[in-house]
Amino acid sequence: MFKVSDLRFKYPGNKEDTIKGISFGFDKGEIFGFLGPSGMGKSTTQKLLTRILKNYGGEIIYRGKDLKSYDKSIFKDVGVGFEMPVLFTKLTAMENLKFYRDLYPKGAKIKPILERLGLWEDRNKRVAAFSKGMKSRLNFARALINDPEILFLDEPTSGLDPTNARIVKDMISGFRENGGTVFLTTHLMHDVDELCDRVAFIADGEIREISSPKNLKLRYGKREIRLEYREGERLEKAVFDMDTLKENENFFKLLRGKDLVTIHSGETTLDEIFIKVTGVKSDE
Amino acid sequence: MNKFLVLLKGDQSRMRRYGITYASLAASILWIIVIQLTNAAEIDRFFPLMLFVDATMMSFLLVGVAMMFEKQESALKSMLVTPISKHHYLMSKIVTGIISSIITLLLLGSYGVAFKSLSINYFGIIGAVALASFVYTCMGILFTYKSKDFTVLIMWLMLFFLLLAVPTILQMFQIITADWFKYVQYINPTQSVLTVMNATVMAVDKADLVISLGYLLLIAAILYYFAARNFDKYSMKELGGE
Ligand SMILES: Nc1ncnc2c1ncn2[C@@H]1O[C@H](COP(=O)(O)OP(=O)(O)O)[C@@H](O)[C@H]1O
Ligand SMILES: [Mg+2]
Repeated sequence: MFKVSDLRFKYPGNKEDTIKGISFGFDKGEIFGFLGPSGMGKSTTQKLLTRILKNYGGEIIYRGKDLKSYDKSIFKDVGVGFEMPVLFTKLTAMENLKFYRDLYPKGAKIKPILERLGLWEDRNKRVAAFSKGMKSRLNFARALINDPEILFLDEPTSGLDPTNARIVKDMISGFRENGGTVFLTTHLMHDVDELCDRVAFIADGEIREISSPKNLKLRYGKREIRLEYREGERLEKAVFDMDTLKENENFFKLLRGKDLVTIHSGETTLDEIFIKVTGVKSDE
Repeated sequence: MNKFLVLLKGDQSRMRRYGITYASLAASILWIIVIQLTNAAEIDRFFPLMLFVDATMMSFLLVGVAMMFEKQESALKSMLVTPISKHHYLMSKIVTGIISSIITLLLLGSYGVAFKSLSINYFGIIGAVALASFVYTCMGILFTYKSKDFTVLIMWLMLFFLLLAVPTILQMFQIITADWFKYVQYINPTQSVLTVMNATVMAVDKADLVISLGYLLLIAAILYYFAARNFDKYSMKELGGE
């Protein structure tokens, strides 16, 4: 559906390119994660794909044609969720959604979306009176307002409590199950793990890795057993590979001969993979 | 509903919600008081002057304030990812300005006709107000592109008033009478607006009227062209960052 080759972008006035020649693609029906630490160019990439920023280098192909060759009617099928909620604060939730819906030839039904997001009761309140989480949810509703075929979401779960984050994530998977395509920008490894078919890691404007979450875990994941035991007055540690454990004599010797303090099994966590791939500590 | 009408309706309802419409109505009421205080014999002469201030300065201010509110709410960003074009967007702003000026015209005009026996060319004045409002809304858009906040915008407006409106008013009251000044004033669109408006209530020099009208139409086209051309740059600048 999208094919990006050697994409480069520099903000006017900046010295260095923010996006330094990235290439990736994703297909219809896929949830493609775009993951990376803050300030690395995720939102910038989304803005390039949604034509908010122009004057890029390289090529973006959408449904087989250069993105630049489309006119504004391209947005009939595209839903965009911005990182910061963009809403008219003096209008009510309903007025906001109706305004945007009517700008499209076909619109979504507002009621089910708001009900699902728990905002139906508050539909006649002005957005200025909404909490941060409510604004985020309404912002997500706005992205769905034209019943799009492809969704761009920039940190859709940020600022949401776990219950509402769950609802939003379920709606994203539901959207895909109905044939939709999603480009999901996030810095949260867990969102990627739950939702994405494939994920690109971006750091410093470059793509470090593109893979499926499952492959990543296989590749970077180490299954191991960690023991702490007493050696006289001292506390000692030992680590064993889980997969070769049954042939490991040292392990059994320790078990029989020492006083154990703790015993843990561990897999490399998603956050550790994030740090390994990007070289930056996840902010979660 | 037609996309453009949706935009226009949205602009109108936001003008009301943000209190801009009421500010404009308050200004009309002030003018009505002025009409009430004006000697009936003089009303024909002063009526265009009142409308002229509304159609020029108010148009400039209204669109500027509306766009500043949009900027604060990053509303443009969400418009950019809808099927509406920049021409839809700009024209909706311009038509909103024109509607507002025409409402003022109707309020002031009906009061003047009813209570002060104002005599006026109705179609002429509607056309003149619409044209003036078009020109000054475009200027408002262009200067909003250049203003980073309300304060800068208001400064532009004051400068505008000093450079464009004050000379015209001084000339009208024959405080400045020099001949050369009259020629300089031909390049002042505010003077052209006043000439065109005056033509609807009194006899004016034919050549003057034709030149002024032609000039206004020309700069309307030029200003709109630049408003559309710089729109992309403006939106890039506003929307590049979160
Ligand atoms: N409008 C802008 N002008 C200049 N630099 C910008 C602008 N917007 C973002 N940047 C810079 O581009 C980099 C990437 O930003 P962004 O794409 O928002 O990162 P992310 O979404 O990954 O957190 C940052 O270093 C940021 O400072
Ligand atoms: Mg971002």
